[in-house]
Amino acid sequence: MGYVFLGYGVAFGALGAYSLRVILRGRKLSRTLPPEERTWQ
Amino acid sequence: MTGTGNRTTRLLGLGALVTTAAVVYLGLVTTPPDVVQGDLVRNIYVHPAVATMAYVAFGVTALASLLYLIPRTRSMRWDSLAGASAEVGVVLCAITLAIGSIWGRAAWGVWWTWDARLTLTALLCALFVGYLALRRTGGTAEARAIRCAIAGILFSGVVPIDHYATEWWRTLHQGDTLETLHPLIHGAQLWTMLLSFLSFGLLYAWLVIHRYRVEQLENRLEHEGLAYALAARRAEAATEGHDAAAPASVGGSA
Repeated sequence: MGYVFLGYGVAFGALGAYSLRVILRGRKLSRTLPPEERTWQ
Repeated sequence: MTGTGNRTTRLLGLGALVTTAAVVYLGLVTTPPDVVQGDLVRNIYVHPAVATMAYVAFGVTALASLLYLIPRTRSMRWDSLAGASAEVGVVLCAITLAIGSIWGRAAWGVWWTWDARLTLTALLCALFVGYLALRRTGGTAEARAIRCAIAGILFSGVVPIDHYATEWWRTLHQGDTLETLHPLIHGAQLWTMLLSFLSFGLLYAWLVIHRYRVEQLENRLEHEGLAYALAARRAEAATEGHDAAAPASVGGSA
């Protein structure tokens, strides 16, 4: 089961880290926009 | 509220989180080990779905690139979507290679072999890393978008070759586990695998929407940053011109 846990860990760890990076970058950049220009909200 | 989320992304994110948790629980706890592979079969609840979503991501890049190249539908939005989907695809493709390698070490005894499927997947990943590098090259936004659209379409041509590699060549990699009419697995294993496709599909959609909005924000920042830098340079040049002209006029009058 060691290899199985390693595979799941790598997959979900990498996806979690990438998701966090995208979300944080989006938060940082959207602060530069006035609220009325955040058209998706 | 800051960020790139809205109601749709929150629903997608929640759906992805719940289905992913279910896949992990079903995959690691409730599904039975395989008679041949033992516990290693649990890899199929992650690996094929991630690989398929990488293909989908590169397919979306190709489609958005094509729509950018057609004059009637040309819009920078298609370029942003192509870039966003390619980046998510590279992450998914790298994960596919990593977990495939871990499974290969346990099942075949080697981390890597120059098998057709593995080599083509690595090539696909490398090509799209190159595509992402191309997106950061200089020139006008339009010229860069055209370059990237052509590259995106060309590079995506590897996807069908990679997919059919196990049928066209004798490979170590196993063929399709899920055939349309005669799946090789049944019961809890089949449903868990199907759920994994739904889970990673939702995750892909959630990630692409966020990344697309980040891409648009970055483009805007780059555009405004350039406009600000040009205005500052013009102001600086005007000041320098004024300063240079002032002593000459003083000297002339003397």
